[in-house]
Amino acid sequence: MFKNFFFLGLITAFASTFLCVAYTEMYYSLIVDFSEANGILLLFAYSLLASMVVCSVAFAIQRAIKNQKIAEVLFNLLFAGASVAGVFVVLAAKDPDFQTENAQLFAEFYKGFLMPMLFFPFLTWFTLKPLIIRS
Amino acid sequence: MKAIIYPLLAVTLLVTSAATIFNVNNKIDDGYKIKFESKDPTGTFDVMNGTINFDENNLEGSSFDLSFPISSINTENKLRDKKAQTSEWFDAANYPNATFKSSSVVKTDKGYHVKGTMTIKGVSKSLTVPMLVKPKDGGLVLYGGFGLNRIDFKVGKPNGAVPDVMNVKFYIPISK
Repeated sequence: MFKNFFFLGLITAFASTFLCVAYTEMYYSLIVDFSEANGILLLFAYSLLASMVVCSVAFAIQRAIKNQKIAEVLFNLLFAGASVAGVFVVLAAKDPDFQTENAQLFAEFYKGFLMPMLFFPFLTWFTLKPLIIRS
Repeated sequence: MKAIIYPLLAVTLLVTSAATIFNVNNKIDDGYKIKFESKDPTGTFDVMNGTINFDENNLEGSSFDLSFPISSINTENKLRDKKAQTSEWFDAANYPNATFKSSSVVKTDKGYHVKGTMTIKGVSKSLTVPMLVKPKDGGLVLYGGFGLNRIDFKVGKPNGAVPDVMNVKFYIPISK
């Protein structure tokens, strides 16, 4: 049973990394290049960390709560809450020390640039879930 | 046995990704000092940017990539600070930063030698920086000093009122 959650987590990690890379490349080319602070390896590490935590929590909740509807609502609330909490973490965090002139000039855009990516694992998980985990 | 394969894989990936995220760089804490001293002048670079990744147990993976904006030179004399920006001295308009990028970090009897390239005013020179390390507030302080000949970097004219060799001292608190 955990196998399904694990694979959903793994695919979510790869898919949200792909989305992050597509988004960052487009942002860098259209607005400002923050690539010095966001390598692909780091984006993948964040996606993988989030996905593995999510798949473990999803499995644990499903095992602990017999009523599937309640278990699902609780998990969805937790996942949505964690994604929103990520916005506050980003807002409170210190900006990196940018080296390139453009990144230094537009440093105030950095937090806004990061925020959409916080929701990529959430969106990917719920998009792919019906394909991998049957109710 | 089969039942624990996927939980084990999940834990392994979790730990690996967390290690990748949290081991990328040290944080340079406030309170760092980059000082240059001579008979006259003496001053500081008030701003230092860049990344330090220093791990006493992984010197091969340790690196320093730092830059020092020329505009942050502070000799406590506004006229002299302004003069330092001119083309005769640091030529800040064309070379806004002095940089140091390490190539290796090696252990010595007393501390470490950080080998790398110092670039000032577009001139790059190999440099070995002796560095000592001490613990502080749960993190580390990297400190030390070395002599830097400004003439090697075409900063100012030789044998002038300003000594050719400046003593550079650094004190950099870092944390994970």
